[in-house]
Amino acid sequence: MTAQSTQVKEDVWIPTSCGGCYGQCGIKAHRVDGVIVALEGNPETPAGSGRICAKGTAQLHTLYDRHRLNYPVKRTNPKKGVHEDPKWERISWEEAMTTIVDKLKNMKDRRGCYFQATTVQTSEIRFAVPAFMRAFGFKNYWVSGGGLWCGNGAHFMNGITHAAWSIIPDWNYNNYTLYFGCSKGHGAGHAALQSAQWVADARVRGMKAVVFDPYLSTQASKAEEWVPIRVGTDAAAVLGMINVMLNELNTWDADYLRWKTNAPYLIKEDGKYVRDPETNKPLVWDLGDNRAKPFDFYEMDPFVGPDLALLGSYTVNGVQCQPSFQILKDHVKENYPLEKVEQITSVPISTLRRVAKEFAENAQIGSTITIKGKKFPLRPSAAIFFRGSQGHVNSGWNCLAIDLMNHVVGAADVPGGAMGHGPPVSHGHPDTGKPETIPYACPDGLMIVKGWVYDHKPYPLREPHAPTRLDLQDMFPSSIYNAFTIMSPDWDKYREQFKLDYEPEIMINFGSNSVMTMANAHDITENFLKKFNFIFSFNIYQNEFTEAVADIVLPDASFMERYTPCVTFPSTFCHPTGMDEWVWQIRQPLVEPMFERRDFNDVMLDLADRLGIKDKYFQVINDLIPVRYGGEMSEKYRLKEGEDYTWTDVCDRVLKDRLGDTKGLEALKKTGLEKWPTKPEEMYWRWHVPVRVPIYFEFFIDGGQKASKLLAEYGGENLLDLRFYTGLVNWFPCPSHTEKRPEYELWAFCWRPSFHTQSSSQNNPWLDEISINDPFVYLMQINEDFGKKKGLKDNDWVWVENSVGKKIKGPVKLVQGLHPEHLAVAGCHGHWARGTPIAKGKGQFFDDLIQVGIEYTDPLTQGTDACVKVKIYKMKEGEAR
Amino acid sequence: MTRHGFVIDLKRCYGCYSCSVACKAANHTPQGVDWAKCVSAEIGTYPSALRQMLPLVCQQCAEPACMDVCPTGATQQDENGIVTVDPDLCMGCKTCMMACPYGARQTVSTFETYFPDAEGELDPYEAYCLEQWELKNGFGLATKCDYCKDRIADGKDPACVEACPAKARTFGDLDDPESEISILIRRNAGFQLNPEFGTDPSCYYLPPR
Amino acid sequence: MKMKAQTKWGWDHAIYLFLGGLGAATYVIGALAGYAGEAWLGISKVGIISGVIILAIGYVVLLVGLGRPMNAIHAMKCPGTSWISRGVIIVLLFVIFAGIHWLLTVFNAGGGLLPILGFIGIVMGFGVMLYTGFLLAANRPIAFWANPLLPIVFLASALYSGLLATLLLSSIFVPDAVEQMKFLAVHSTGLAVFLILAMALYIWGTHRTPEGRAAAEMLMSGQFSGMFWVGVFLMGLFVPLVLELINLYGMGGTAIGMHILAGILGLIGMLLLRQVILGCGVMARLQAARFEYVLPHI
Repeated sequence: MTAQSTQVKEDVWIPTSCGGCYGQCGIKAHRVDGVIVALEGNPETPAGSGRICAKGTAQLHTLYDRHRLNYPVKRTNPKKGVHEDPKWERISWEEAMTTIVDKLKNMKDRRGCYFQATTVQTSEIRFAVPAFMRAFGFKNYWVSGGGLWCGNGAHFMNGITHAAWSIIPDWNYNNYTLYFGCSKGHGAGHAALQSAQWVADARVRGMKAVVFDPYLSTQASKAEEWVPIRVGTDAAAVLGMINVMLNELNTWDADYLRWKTNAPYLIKEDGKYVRDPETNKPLVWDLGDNRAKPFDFYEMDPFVGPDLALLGSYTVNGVQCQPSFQILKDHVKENYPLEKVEQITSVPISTLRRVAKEFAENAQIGSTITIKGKKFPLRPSAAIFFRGSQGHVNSGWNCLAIDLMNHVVGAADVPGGAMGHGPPVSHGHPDTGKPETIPYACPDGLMIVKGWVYDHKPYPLREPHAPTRLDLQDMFPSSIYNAFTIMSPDWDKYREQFKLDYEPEIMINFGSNSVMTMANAHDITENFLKKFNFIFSFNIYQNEFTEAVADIVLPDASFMERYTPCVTFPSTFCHPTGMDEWVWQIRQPLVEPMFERRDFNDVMLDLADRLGIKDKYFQVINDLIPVRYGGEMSEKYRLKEGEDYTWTDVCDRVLKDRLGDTKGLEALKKTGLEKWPTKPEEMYWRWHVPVRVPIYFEFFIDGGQKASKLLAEYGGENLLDLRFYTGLVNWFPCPSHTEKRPEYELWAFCWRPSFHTQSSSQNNPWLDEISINDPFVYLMQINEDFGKKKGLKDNDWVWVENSVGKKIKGPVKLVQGLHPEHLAVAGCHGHWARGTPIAKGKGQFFDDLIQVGIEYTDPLTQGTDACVKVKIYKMKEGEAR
Repeated sequence: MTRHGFVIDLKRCYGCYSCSVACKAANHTPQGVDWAKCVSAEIGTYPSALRQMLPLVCQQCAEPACMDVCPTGATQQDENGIVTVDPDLCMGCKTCMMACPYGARQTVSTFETYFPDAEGELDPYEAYCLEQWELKNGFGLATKCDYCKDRIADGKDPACVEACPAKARTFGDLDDPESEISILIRRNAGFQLNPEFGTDPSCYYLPPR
Repeated sequence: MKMKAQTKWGWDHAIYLFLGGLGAATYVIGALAGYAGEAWLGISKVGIISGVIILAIGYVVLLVGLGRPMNAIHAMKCPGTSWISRGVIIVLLFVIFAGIHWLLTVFNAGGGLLPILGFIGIVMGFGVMLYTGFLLAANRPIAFWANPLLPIVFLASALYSGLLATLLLSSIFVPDAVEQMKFLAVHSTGLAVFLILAMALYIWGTHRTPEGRAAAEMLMSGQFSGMFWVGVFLMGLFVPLVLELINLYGMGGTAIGMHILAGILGLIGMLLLRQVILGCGVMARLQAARFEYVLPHI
């Protein structure tokens, strides 16, 4: 057969958005005679600029993977548990839906419903999940890896200080970046492809990166300098460096601290603000008038404002007080001397001192730059972090500490500095003014984020109240997802103790594989998932979760078989932060869903219809759109009561409402996106939005006390360590740092290869092929000298055992690029599901070593600790591998 | 004259394997064939250890060792310096694989599906790939990268160049001193891999640090 | 990073290299014996007949091992640069002349033509024994092969295995030719000693490059060390040498069984020799900046 002999009837390119990870880059697909034969980058979009990564291209095999789930199935083996064979039996959609509706209708209490969703399909969960939850009447929700892999600490803290989901350096102007446990610009989903281009450009231009990481990771290997550090001690290192900046170099951006932070706010002995008796506003000390006055906001250009005191001691109305900056300065001097920091982190004093100096010098405090006719401070230094720093008991403080580096030198959301990502300030499309998201100030002057995707904004803190959620999240001031309660063997007791008047009944799962993504498989399955009477799940594969506990599994369409109206907004992870255009991307089916697969959005609408809650469902969408996509819905496009909208109708109306009458679904299907120009004051918004951010966290004191008081009412005061609820950034150790038994020689942690996504990419044959060829992915790394001391060589199989005797096994790879006190494992591998035979048995399942419990939980954010102290020993001959 | 060439900037490359997978997709290479391999290396000792990925393509040598040893004349060099394999001539002796210092030559003897555990027929995409592979290359012969000859004939960049998230790869004309790649090589001390083999590759690398 | 050797030329190539050299050498010994007078006729026949058959089998193995055997008709197209093309031509010429020689020998015909055919056959036979060495040595990325002593080792190995095969077959088909076999046995011991020395030199010669050293290490203490020390050295060279020495100087060279045993062991050893040399073909590392990269298995 030759190419010519085949009559080609169809040959089209379809623009859409990738869903290989949460990065959502713009791609286009080549369809020939109904078959997708290529995926390439879409050069039209600033979210990727025509590039495509390994995960993206490999989605070709995900679309057509013969292991995909094609029909609804039900469990016939009533026994649930890890490694159980569910003995699936194919059923019709009608049977599946009837069963589900029947179960939902006959619940004892609708509040006992629980939604669990994956964050890989981050833009798919913005509509159906909240709409169904509120319409049906329940509040229980989590993204299973959330809190651990995702950002209980990181997103929360970035929300407080940058009004954003994350921070990345402004690579277009940055000259010096400190990386802490993150790979932004090196394959991480944070505007993955655009960031990768910018960071490469910056590197060629001469930008220097210094990476603090126990592992010579992808980003460390590209950095100017790799600084090996003990896992989870980031805050200590950073506070040591801040000590150098504040007390040795005397370097800080006084203007920024005075006018954009609460550094000048006067603090009393009890740690609280000194307030104006009249306005209740926090007071600052004006050195010009030599008196205290309520804080205020000042215009940025020209850089003038009153000379507010940052240092010194004052007496206001007879009360002794100091600016919070003075307190911070003294705090780091007293508590983080370099000798102590070196002991904690293993980073040499000379390195800490030098890096601090380089960071401060590169910030070029005082310099300015003009962009598109507007003057901005230029601060080409940035300190950024993500999962590596936040997966610890000190999660929240690690994040705040690292970000504090930026605020000390004024390198926050200004050219060259650490930028909120995705861009948190948007003035909207010129035709509609939407999406408009501009942060605003609370009465204390501190910033409140405008658009947010969690049900509670990071600041102001939640008022702790009697629990309504099964994970007791409501009782904690800043928890996003609360794993230690639900995964505890005492979950039942907790619910009783805190007088929760309903039980877990039904779980709805969208694509998540929580058995593998939230600590050890046993605890989550036995303590949490098995407590549900009925679980139905939307999946494209059977995975460890469905095989362990799902009763009915519905064959979901992949992201290549469905519509999503908003992909790059809310900008969270995927919208590039820089001066390229704004882009609103959609996702559209490249082919009709094959076999009996159905799009999650369609099915959820169908369910709402069958349950008679469709009107409410649409009402929730009407209500949510202003919160998430900035700006009220116009009357014309609001979803109206009594109408029978399909999912594509909803998409069409949302698009027209946000982008304009002519920018409906049909129009966007042709281009895949809508673009409009970026203003410099949107991207570099810090001095253009009248808000301040905390360097001193006075509100935690109150938050902690309120929560503690509430918990005490139920006899649960032991669930909150109040030491964490202070105004000052600190480092607190994880249990791994206090483990003293000598046989526990190594800290184990996991890292992510740039070509894998959470637990979802491992069954892809191309990604598996490169994982096999890669020297690290399927092997556990130990330091070569340590390995030799232990008599280990490459490919020797070892047991890795944590402090409670949980073990994983695998071959080791001896490397020089690893701190000698550590063991590094690529995650998330070591699958065992029957439904994913390519992934099965390859690599190691690191999470099995992770324990969940109050002692492994960050009291501030309820994030989970993901570093463990382990002992390793060689497997005996003949032991099963 | 045009001499098609590559510049791969190791300073930009962070080792994401996007080129490998883009190549697999663009050329429908079957399981076991990887024309755009990436290899990793570590040097130095803790804490000064360094790692760097080396992405490979066929180096399209001006003096191709693979062509010298090829007994059948299947290996040819076109007027733009691209070394090609004629599937109608290659007998699959693999001697080119021994002669090529860069591992550019790859062969698999039979087709193996990527989904060995799945039942039923090949999926439409894998079937398409198989058809394309047999059309343009085939099993049993020593295949290689041809800088996406079809794509560059259409005025596009090779698939790996277009995909590279870090823009580490540039494609162009080595004979033109003003081409982007010629300038990159001149300005950044571009070098060829293992010049001691006398192959004069058309692929240049820029230093990682 | 541990260096890696090529894996694409495996047992089929080893068998061909072995049988090709063995066949040519056996033929050459047979043809030479044809000049040595009446007493050698039996051995000459054994050598010529079996030599050509062995080589033919080797070629079949090689053809079957090709990815696309049907395209082998193009294999002679590039003798200007390709050792395979050259080899195919040499082998073809050998097959033509030795084949006629073989036919005439089988049918006891030819008369005056035989010495001329034999001469050409012998020259071609040496070509066959040598070219494989050059073929491997031409691959510059494999330092272990790109060694001028390799053709010598291959030639010596071929002749040695040819002698052993002739001895073995003669022991069966012309067991009366005791004196002639003694003569062959003496030369086999000499060749065994020569081959040991040649190999020692060859391996020593690899020490110029890290890849060569890695290959030598792989051969002598690594992956192939068992095959090398037990198979090649002990079984292939040392034991046959001792057996033949005992036979020659202890038993007057009359122990036919010793020839057979030495032959079998020696032939296995020489096959393994080809295999270990192929298997230790460590590929050159790629060098970029200060980094050295090991290619995955080629």
